[in-house]
Amino acid sequence: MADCQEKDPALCELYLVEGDSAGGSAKQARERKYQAVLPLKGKILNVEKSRFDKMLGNDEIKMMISALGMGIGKDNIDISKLRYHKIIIMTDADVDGSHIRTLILTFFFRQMPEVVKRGYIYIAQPPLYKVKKGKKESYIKDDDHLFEYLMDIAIDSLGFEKTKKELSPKIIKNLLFSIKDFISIKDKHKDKFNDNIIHFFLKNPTYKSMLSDTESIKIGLEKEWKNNKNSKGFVEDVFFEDDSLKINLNTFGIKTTQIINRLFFDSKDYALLEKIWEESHDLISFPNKLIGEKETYIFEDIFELYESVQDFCKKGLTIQRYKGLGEMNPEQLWETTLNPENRRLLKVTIDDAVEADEIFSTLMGEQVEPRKKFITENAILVGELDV
Amino acid sequence: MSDIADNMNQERGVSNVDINKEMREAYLQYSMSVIVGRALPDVRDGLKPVHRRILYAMHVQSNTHDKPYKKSARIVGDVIGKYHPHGDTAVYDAMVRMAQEFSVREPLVDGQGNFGSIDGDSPAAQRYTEVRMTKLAEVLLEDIQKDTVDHSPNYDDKEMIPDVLPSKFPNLLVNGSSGIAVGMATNIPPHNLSEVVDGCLHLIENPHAKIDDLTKIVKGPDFPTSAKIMGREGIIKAYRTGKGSITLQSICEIEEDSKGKEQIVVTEIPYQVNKAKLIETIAQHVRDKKIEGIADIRDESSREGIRILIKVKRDASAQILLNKLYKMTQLQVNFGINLLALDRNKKPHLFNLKEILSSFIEKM
Repeated sequence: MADCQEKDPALCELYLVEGDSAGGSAKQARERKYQAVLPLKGKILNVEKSRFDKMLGNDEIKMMISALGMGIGKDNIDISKLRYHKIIIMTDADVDGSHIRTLILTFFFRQMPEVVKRGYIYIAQPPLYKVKKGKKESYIKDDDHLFEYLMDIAIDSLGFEKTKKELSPKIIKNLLFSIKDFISIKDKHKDKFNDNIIHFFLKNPTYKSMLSDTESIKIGLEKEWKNNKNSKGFVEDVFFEDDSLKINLNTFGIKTTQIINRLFFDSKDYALLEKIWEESHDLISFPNKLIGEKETYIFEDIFELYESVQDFCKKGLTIQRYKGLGEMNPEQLWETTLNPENRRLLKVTIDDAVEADEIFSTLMGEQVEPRKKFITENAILVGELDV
Repeated sequence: MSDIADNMNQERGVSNVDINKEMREAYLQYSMSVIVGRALPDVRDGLKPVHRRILYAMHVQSNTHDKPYKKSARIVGDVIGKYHPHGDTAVYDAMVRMAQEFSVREPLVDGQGNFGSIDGDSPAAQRYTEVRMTKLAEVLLEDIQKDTVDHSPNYDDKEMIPDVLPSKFPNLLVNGSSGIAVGMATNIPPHNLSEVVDGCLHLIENPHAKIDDLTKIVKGPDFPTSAKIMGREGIIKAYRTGKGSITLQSICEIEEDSKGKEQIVVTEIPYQVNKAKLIETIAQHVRDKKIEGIADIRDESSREGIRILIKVKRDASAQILLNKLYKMTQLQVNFGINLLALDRNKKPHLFNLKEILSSFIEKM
């Protein structure tokens, strides 16, 4: 524990740091006047599952209680003695960091609910990326901002060989952003919808209401496979049953079936794919060339365009992905995560106490079944898995 | 109204987040990652990411069975630096287990040095021990350079890692797997390599084979420690439904010593039972007087094999004592089979025997 010099709780900040990674650098980086640092070792105890006396016996919890200064237990707790009115949880930007965050939040929500209610709990937001161009370094908070940043530096030097309209950098930027959305929707459905199949239906929209015409669809798909030089394997068989189009593919002897339910073509996701497809084809023609200052990238279709743009933007840049706080030097940590001028914090609020109570018991409690249910029901919502 | 006022007053760089939302998102991220990227094996190659990355790192360093051993620390360093940004002990422990003959049915790592013992002794530090792949591990990786499997970028986009190994033999059943994810767990027992391969061959020739046909070929688990499986009911149930429980019993004999007194000799113990702890529990029960009739207990194991000697008091019956030991100690254990693995879309799925074999055959 490294305490701060200030005594007025309203001005004091306590950083709870994932200790193995950044205890040391956070201590060096902080502003000692009003920022205290408490490194926590590893994963703290799950208080939802432990008895009160066991919790009090845990070293990390003990340290937290004594640092906060307000005691513990229904009868002994006194929030007027709380020594910091900003308690900032600072964990790594990886999945174990997420886990530690849930454990710390559980401790506060269950044992010191008043602290959460008054809005004293914050979550630090360290950057996910450092991008270096020449000597200039920038910190980027997440994937969306990274894409935006890449676009911003690339957009002025980027153009297309064949366009259907006059394209301002702003239009190009919007186009590339929608293509990014297109790719992420496509990836979400890749188990039923491979690139060639998407292509076919977007090019020939009439077929989505003629799914039983499997013969024409098969001929169309075969053409698609032939035209796309990147495609592997071939279409073995197409048939329609149970309201779904089933396409048997054979890739080097490995057989797979892509099953597309008729209803999928009415879904929001498909409508978005169609919209972006049309918009992009209104603006530029495919195949086409992406032209930069020095090099050109040839792309056949919307998928290759996305890859070309990525390659183009990343040229001459060094992108470092931060997995842990420990990858940053103390100055960098101060600059990005501790300095009130630059840092971004999330203030934890309780919008619905009853729902919050439920979610803590589901996620952190003894019972496994509700947790399993929660995970299976919500699994689709997690876009990128960090493995 | 007050919300808006709050937000107006808030200092720069601060935005609100509902505790509910934060908990859900953070917890989902963690649990999905543990399920998909840590604790469960892929049904096609039977490996968790850490094992796959270890083998791939050894492959890249061409650390094969026909070349000299390499220091464990070099492999571990490569794995964490290039593919697996986690702690070194986790990686080393995983690698050590792949070399332990009492932990895996067919070791994938050939270890030189102290790789621990069935008593739970820890292996020598990674700077002392040396490793290379076994011949069988190389079969898992064969043809990987021929564009047989998809690769994905590693954590910093600088290296590529295979999503699954080409695996020419059904490793999931052969070596089994166990792991606790979040909200779900897996426990797959190891099997005999030739039986499982025969099962695959039968399924290739008869794609409509029934599970009951397959259970005649893949008769049951084959553990590296050769304790007895009591009854086939649990096995059949697990092969049909993915879940079942079997009982493993140590191999024990009742002998007479030179003075005509009875003694129990244990020569094999159940899979994943720690021998030292087993003996300690028995001794503790004797001290607590929960088990009576034991005069002495000695661990006489050596390089020739396991031998636990339990001397029986003259007035006690060895058979009754043995039954009691089965009931009260890990001399007999239950093994809950749970055939959970990630399918080809990396989604967790409870498999039956036929599904595991056909997923292996179909691969992609």
